[in-house]
Amino acid sequence: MDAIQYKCPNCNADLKFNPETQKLSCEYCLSSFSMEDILIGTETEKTNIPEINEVKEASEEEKLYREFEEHTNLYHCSSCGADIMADDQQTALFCYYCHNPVILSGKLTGSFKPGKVIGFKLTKDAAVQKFRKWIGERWFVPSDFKSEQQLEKITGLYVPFWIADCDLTADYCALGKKVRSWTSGNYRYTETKEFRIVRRANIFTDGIPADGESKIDDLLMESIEPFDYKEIKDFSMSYLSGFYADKYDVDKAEVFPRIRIRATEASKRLINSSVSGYTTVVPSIENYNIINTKWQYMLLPVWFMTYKYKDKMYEFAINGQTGKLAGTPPLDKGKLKRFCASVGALAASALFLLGGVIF
Amino acid sequence: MKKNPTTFLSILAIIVLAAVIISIPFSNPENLREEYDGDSSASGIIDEAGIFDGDPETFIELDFMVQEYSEELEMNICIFLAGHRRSDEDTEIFSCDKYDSIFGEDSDGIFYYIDTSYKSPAYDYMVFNGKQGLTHHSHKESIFSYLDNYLPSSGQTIRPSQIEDTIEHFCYELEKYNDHTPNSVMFERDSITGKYYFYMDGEYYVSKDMPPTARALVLIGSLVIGLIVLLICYFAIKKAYKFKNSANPSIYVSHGETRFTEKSDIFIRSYVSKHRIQSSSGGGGGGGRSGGGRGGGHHR
Repeated sequence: MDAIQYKCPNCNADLKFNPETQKLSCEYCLSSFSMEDILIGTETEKTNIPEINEVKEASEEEKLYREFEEHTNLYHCSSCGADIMADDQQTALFCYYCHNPVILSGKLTGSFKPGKVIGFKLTKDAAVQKFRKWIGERWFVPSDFKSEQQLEKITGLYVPFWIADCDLTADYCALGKKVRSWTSGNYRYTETKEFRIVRRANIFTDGIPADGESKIDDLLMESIEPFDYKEIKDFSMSYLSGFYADKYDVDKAEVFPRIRIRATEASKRLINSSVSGYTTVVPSIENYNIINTKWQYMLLPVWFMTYKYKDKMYEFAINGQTGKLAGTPPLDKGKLKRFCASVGALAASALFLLGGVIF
Repeated sequence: MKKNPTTFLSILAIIVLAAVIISIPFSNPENLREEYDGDSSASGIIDEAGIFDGDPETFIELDFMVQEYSEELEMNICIFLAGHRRSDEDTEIFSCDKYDSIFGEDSDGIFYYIDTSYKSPAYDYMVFNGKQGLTHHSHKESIFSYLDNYLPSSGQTIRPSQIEDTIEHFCYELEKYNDHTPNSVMFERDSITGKYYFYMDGEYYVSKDMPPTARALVLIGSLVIGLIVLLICYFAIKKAYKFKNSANPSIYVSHGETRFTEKSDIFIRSYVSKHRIQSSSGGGGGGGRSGGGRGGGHHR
C-alpha cells in the first residue's frame, strides 16, 4: 500500500504527524492542522468535478505547458552552477552571474513554467544610464568598474519569484504610559496614566515576493522592490525574447520562512502605527500567525550585473519595471586611503599653520 | 562621468606638506633679547603727582633703593606716581609706551603705574617686559593684593608714607618672585609685536620665531587631530560603501481587507509623584586674566 503524503495548505511542504499535539505539523511554516481539516480539504479537491469550460481551460493550460517545454532551452554554467533559460530563438553564450561560457544542457519540464510575468519596461540603455549616474557619485570604486566593458555585462534577466498573499491574525497587548510633568512652588509633579492597549486584527498582505534563485542575494532582490503588480500578465514565451530567465532552485516551502518574517514585520508595523500618543509602550503579548497563504510563481524583470573584485563577487540589480537600483559598490581601499591621508595631511597642515598664528 | 578628486587632493596635500616642512626653522631661534647691562641709572621713581615735593630727601632715598634693587635683581624698574586721571585703556597704553621709551622694547624690567590722582576708582597697572613676563607676570595678582595693604583706598587722601611703604614692599615682592624659573614649555607672546618670550636650555629668549618646544606641541597636536580626521573620514566613507536595504514590507499590507476585531485603550490607573526641586545657588564666575601677556591691571 502506498504511503499517503499530505501537503501543507500554506506552503505545500510535506506535513508530519506530531504525536504530542496529535496534529499534522509543517516544519517550514510551523503551521499545524487537525486531521479533519486536512481530510475536508482533500475531499473538497476530490469532489470538485470540473465543468466543461474548466476542461477547456485545462487543455489550454496543457498546451502552454507543452509550448514551454518545446521552446525553452536550458543552459548550464559549469563554473558557478547557474541554470539559465532562454527561448529557442536565441542562444545563451555567457553566464549572467560569473560571465563564463555556458553550455546547452537540455529542455525544461513544464513544471518550471511560470504562471505570470511582468515584462521589461526599462531598456538596456536606460539601465546603463541609471547605473552610470549611480556609480558617478561614488569616487572610490575601482577604475575598471566604470569601464564600458563592465557596463556591457548588464544582463536583462527574468528572475523567478514566489509571490505570497498571506492572511494573518494579530494578537497584541501592551501597557502604555502617558507621562506629564509640571512645577508648582518648590515641587516638580509627575503624573503617570497607565492604559491597557489591546489590538486584535485580521491582516492581509498582498504579493510579498521572495526570489526562488539561491545564487542572487535575497536582500538585493528585496531592495529593488516594489514591483507594480498591475502590469502582471499571463506568462507567454514571447516575454523571454531578448532576455534570459533563471530557473528556480528554491521552492516555495523553502522561501516560506522569509515570507513569514516579512509578513510578520509588515503586520507589526501596522499594529505599532495604530498605537500612538503614549510616552512609553511595553508589549506583553505579540502574536502574529499566518493562517492561510496563496502562492503564485512568476518571472520579474531585473537588469543584473556582477563584478568580481579581490575574490569577492559584487551584485547589482535594477528593477526592470521601475528602474530602482540596488547593490554594494566595491571599495578601492588604496584610493580611499590616499584620499583620507590627503585630507588628514591638509587638516594637520592647516592646524599647524593656524597654531603658529594663534600661539 | 565625474573626475575623481583623489589624485588632485593627493598632489595638493604633498605640495602643502612640503611647504609646511620648508617653513619650519630647524636652527635655534634668533635671540633679540637686550640683556640687562648693569646700568640702573634709568631705573627709579617718576613723581608726576608731586607727592614727595615736600620731602625730597625721602624721594632720593627711595629712588636710590629702587636703583639698588634694579642692579641686584638685574632688571629695569620704574615706579610711576600718576598725577592725573587716565582711563584704564589709556593707562595701559601709557605704561607700555613709557616703559619702551625709558628702557627699550626688548629689555627685561617692570613698570609700575600707581594711580595717585585721588579719583575713584583708582587703576594701577604693571608692565612686565622681557624676562619678567615669565618670572613675575603670573604672580601679578598676588603682588597687587599684597600692595593693597599699603596703598590708600581710591578717592582718599594719599599720605607720602603710604606710597613709601608701597614702594618698599613692591621691591620686596620683586625680589621674592625673582628666583622663579619657568619651565621651557612656558612662553609668552606679544600679540602686537608678534614676539615670543621663552626659556630654552636655561637661557631667556626674545624671538620672532615660535619656541621649538611650543612648535613641537603644536605639531604633535596637529598630527593627532589630522589622524583623527583621517580615521573619521576613512570609516565614514567605508560605511557609505556598505549595502543598504531599503525594503519596507509595510507596502504589502492590504489596508482595504485588513480589519481590526479589537482596538481598545483601557485606562487602568493614574498616580502622581512629586520631587522637591533642589535650589542651586549661583557661584561666582572665575576671573579672567587681565591685561594680556605683557601687563596686568588692578582696581582699588
